Amino acid sequence: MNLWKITVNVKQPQIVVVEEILGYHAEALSSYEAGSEIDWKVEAYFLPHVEKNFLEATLIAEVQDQLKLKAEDVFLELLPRADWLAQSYASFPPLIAGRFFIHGSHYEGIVPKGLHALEINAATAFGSGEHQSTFGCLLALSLLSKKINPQKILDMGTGTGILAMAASKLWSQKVLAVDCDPESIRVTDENASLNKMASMIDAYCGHGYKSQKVKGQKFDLIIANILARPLMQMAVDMKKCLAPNGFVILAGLLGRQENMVLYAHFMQDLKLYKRIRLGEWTCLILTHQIKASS
Amino acid sequence: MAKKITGYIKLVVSAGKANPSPPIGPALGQRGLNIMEFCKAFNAQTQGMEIGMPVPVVITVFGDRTFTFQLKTPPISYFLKKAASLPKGSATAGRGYVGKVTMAQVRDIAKQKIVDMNANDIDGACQMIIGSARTMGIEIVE
Repeated sequence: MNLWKITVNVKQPQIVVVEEILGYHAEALSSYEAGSEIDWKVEAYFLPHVEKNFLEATLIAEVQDQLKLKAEDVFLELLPRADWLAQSYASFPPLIAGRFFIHGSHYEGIVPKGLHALEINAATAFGSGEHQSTFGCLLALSLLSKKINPQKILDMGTGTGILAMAASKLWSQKVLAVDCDPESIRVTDENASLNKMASMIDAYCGHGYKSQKVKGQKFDLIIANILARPLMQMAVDMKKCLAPNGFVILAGLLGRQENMVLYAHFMQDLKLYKRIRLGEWTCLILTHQIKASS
Repeated sequence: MAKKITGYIKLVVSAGKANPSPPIGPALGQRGLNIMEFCKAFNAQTQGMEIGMPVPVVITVFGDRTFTFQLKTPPISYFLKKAASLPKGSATAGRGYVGKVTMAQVRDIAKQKIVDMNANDIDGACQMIIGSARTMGIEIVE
């Protein structure tokens, strides 16, 4: 089935006006960032029987009139019939991150030799491997794989469980995967089963390092891909759960937030072992060990 | 994890019947989302609902193309047509009625819809539903 699509370039506060005008007649509305946090696009999809003249003379004219937009900021096109499912799968090619080969369930090819395969579908929990914060953690785990041999591993803020499974694959250890979102725990359990790792991933719904299963434990490796502020707020409690000579991977922080996150952890006597910068995102590897270098 | 919102998708999907055809396919496909994962999750969440009931859904898209979604209550027109046992509303509203609903049914609809309405209380929600009924050519009876 062909579809009409109206695309409107707007500033973020104008989205609601466009949606109000187009929403009643549209089958679907999509709004998304286009280059910056203030510049957005709104796309509205209409069934093919809706008359082109109505779309142009009524809806587009109304949008242009109300928002005083230039002609090139509002345009109409006819989307040809397409195999959307095939296109969707094609947009998720396998990903190589360090020692890992991440692929969706639709992938039927071979896994390159020497890499650990992880089957992850981009769905209702964060952590497909594509985002630079997750990708950086996978590189950090790969980097540590030959250096350490952790017996107890914690993944705080596990999302899809991708990092917990990656760590488990590297060291053949059981990993405690914690998240405060019950949906993430459901997805982690599902992914662990999908990857035949159900017995290796202990997915637990809890809030941070004070949650029942975490408090009082000492971990040799902690992975925390969250956000800068929560990482800083949890630094004290995290340190209490880190074993002597333990390592911690911190991610979910932007380059400009690096110093404040580092400072919060330096205050806990942790030292920077390595930093990995990918685009605007930074991943930090910290340790208790004395001999650390940046 | 580092959940940065990069977009939203709003659409209406029939309960238990999400599939890759329009509008889901193009709306999600053009944004690079995993269509089948959404369909599976949506159908699982709506499996307790009446099959085919129109369910407005708002999908929040994150930086790594993962997503969450929130289900809303069906449109008022759906509830009114169901209560009045009508296949569709009047094409010539204001010129006679095509069906009727009772005030008790209006209150019942208000109770189901109020979570998604800009109404302060049930009475306010009832007034909005009565307004919608009028535009659809549905008479309100005691």
